[in-house]
This record gives sequence, C-alpha cells and structure tokens, in this order.
Amino acid sequence: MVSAQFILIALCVVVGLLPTMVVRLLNKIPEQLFGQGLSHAMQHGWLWLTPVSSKTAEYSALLVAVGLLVSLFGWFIVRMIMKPKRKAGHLGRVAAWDCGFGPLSSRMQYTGGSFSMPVRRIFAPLWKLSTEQKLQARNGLPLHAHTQIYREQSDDLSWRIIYNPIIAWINFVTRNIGRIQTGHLRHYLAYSFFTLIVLLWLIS
Amino acid sequence: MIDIIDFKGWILVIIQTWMFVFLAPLLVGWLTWLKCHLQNRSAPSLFQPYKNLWRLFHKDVLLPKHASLIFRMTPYIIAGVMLIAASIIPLFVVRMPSSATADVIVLVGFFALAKFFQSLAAMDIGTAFGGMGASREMTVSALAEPAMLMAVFTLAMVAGSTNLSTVVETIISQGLVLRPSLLFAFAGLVLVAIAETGRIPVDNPSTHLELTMIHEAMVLEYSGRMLALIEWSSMTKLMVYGVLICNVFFPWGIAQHHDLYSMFIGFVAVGFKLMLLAVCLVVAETLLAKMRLFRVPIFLSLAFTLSLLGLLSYIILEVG
Repeated sequence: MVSAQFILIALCVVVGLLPTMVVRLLNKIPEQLFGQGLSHAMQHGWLWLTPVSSKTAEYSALLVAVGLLVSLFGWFIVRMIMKPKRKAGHLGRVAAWDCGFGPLSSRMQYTGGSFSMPVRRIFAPLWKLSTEQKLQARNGLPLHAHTQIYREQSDDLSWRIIYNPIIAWINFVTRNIGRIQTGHLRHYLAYSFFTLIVLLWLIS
Repeated sequence: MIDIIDFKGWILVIIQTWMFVFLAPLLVGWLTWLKCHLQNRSAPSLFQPYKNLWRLFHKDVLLPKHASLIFRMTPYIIAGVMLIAASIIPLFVVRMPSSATADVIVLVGFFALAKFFQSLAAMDIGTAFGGMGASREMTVSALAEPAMLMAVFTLAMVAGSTNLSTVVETIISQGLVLRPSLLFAFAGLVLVAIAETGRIPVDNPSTHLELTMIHEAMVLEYSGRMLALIEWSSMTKLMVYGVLICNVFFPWGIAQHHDLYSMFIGFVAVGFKLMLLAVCLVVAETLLAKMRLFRVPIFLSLAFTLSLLGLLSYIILEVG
C-alpha cells in the first residue's frame, strides 16, 4: 500500500543527491525563455554545485550524504563498543510518564490543531479564525453535560480580501454585459446600426 | 577552490570535529561553574558533564511502550548530524576540505534536520509532553530560522561567499574595521543562538517543569545511552553556535596556515574567546528571567529586524 510513497521518497532522495543532473535537465527551459541558463552551476564537474562561482558558493550533496553516513556509522560503532551487558536481548519497555494523573489515553495526544496552536496564535492576523464551543446537555440540564463539541476553523484572509472582491466585480461586470442580450428586437437593430456607423467611420 | 583530495586536510577535519565533540561538555561545565559562582552557590567540578555522560552511557535504556523505530533511531541521527555540522565550522584552522563541501546555508539545513527528527521522536510516544515540546520547538524554529538566514546573508554579502572559511579569511584580511553591518548581524545571530540552543530567556535548560520546557520536553522519555547522545548533541550544538559567533565576527588568532605553531595559537585564541562568550552568556542568564512563550516572537522579531538592518546598512553604507 505504501510502496508508492517509498518510490516517491527514493526519487526525492536521488534528486537531492544529484542536483547538478537536475540543473542540467532543467537548464533547457531558461535557455529557451531567456537565452541564458545556469550552465556555470556545473562548471566544476557533476559533483559540485556552484551557482555563481566556486568562490561564492559551492555545495556537494553526495559528499555531504557520505559524511552523514560515515558519522552515523561512527556513532553505531561507539554504541556497539559501549553496549552494557544485558540479561535478555530486548530493551525494557515501560509505560510513558503520565505526571501522576492516571493512565494516558489517545485523546490526550497532540492533534494537528493543538500542534499548530502557537503558530496560529502568533500569526493570527493572517487568518480569519473562528472557534465554536458547544456543550450538549443531557436531560436538558446544563449541569449534566454529556458531550462537548469544540470546533476551530481558519479561513484564509487573502481569499476574503483579494479573491472575493475580484469575483464580485467580475460577476457585476458580466451581469451588466449580459444586458445586451435582453430587450426588444428594435434594441438589437439599434445596436447593429450604431456598430455599422462606428465601423464605417473607423474605416474611412 | 579548496583541494578536496588533501589527506592532511582531512586528518585536520577529523581532529577538529572530535575536539568539538570532546570539548563541548567542558564548555558546559565552565558555564555551570560560572553560573553557580555568580549566584553564590557552590559549583560542581568543571568535568561534571563528562561524569554525567559516563553515568548515562552505563545505564539501561527503558523505552516507552508505544515507541517506534523513529524514537530509537533519532539519538543516532541527531548525533551524526551534529558531528557533520561541527566538521564544517573552522575551530582553530581555516581552509579545510570539509568547508568546501557544505556552506553556511547547509549548516542551517543540518540544524533543521536534527530538529525535525527530534520533534518526530517527541510526538512518537503519544504523550502530551512530547507534543507540547515539539509544537513549541517548531514555533520557535519557524521564527528563528529566517532571522538566522538573514544574518547569514549579511555575512555572505560582506565576504562575497557563503563558504565559512572564506568568510573568516575575508574578515581577517580587512583588519580591525568597525562595520555596522557586521555589528547588526552579530547582535541578530546572538539572539538567534540563544533561541536555538534553548538558553534563558527563551528556554530553561536545567528544568523539567511544563511551563518552562521546550527542548527538555522533547527528551523527557529518553534514558541511558540515548539520553547521553542527545545531551551530548545539545552541548555540541551550543559549542557550534559559540564557535560560529567567535570565529566569524572576531576571527583574529585563527590559523590560516596548516603549521603546528599557528594551530596552537588558533586553539588558545578560540578557547579564550569561548570562555569570554560564556561569561557574557552567564551574566545575561542570571540577569534575565525566562520569557513566556508568546513573548518569544517579539524577541525573535527583534533578531530578524537587527539582521535586516545589517543587510540594509551593508547595501547603503558599504557597497561601492
């Protein structure tokens, strides 16, 4: 089921490790559009990415990946050396720290909404946030609360400020242009007559 | 271009990286010693962090019930990333082959990779602590990284390069000149370093209380050698930021040739600079209290503004 995602991950890693190949493939586009591309990015071989010049910035993705693998391997060796003597093969598994309040449940986990709460609060002016909190009472008595429904919605402000006025304006204009299609036959004859006059004036 | 097939250079890279890793606990020990004396408490030995790490390495690892492979792999990934980040920073000598492979923007990418895996591992266990730590860490990082990149861009524009060795050599070659762009970038980078390394006033590194945790909340469930690796990595990160600030903005003393005498002078110079930086950090930590979380955006906006001012002052005052 998830093999498709793994293929995508592998392709992402390959593209990241060989940026010069990607630049070489994509270079044709700016060359056709602007007449010049980023051919000096590959001037020092396929291993080095040098966008401006070698002195300004150079980066070798493959060497960085090799370095990362070497350092991970190094830590693995350290772990093997410092492995303490254990009775059984497996590591001990215990319950996670629950702060003394009783067993943890999956409802106490952080959801997407809770994870993004600080960012939403800090960048609140960028979004239109609305919160709804409803207490569903049992037997009609609020003190016998049964369920609490909490709903948060964040709408994009740019949709409201930029896109909606443009949509409203387009609707207004098209409605008014559509007025040409309404009316009596004599209105159509008048349109044709005046269009002919204007065209004849333009030609002459 | 720095010669990549330089055997002596790569030996120096390995020595320098391992010095970063092995001297980072000493820096933290010095910080703790200074803080205790400043607060009129009796201080532990300078080598106490080494004893703590030794103790942790010899303890058993206990995993939470629902921990997956990500939780188990993360300490090794973070340690590996910190190792490679340390390899590209010039500690006591410049012109190393490793700084040709990755520049300062890749360094920011390394820190982001470590942070990503740390947050994933924190969310992996399913407790509210981990989620809280991860959420706060990502918020602080989302605000701090633009400020750091802006300071880095200012440095890159001054030196004409993003290669750290080239930046250090350019600033040395210009002599003792007061550059407003570098002053602003220095101030911005110091504020970002405080946020990224989790020091007061952004985070309290010696607490395990909910209200005051960001980094500690993410590592609450780790034990034994995994906790040792994570603690060691955060000490290395502090040293990386410290050396970055010292050697980029005050590079005098660093060895520009690969001979023993220059490297010895470079080592003594960076040691002295780091000790002085630690004194300034400890005084700031003692005088300031930890900020509440929703005041941290103001702190980091200040860092961003200072870095932006550095960039603008370079463009207006120093070009041409």
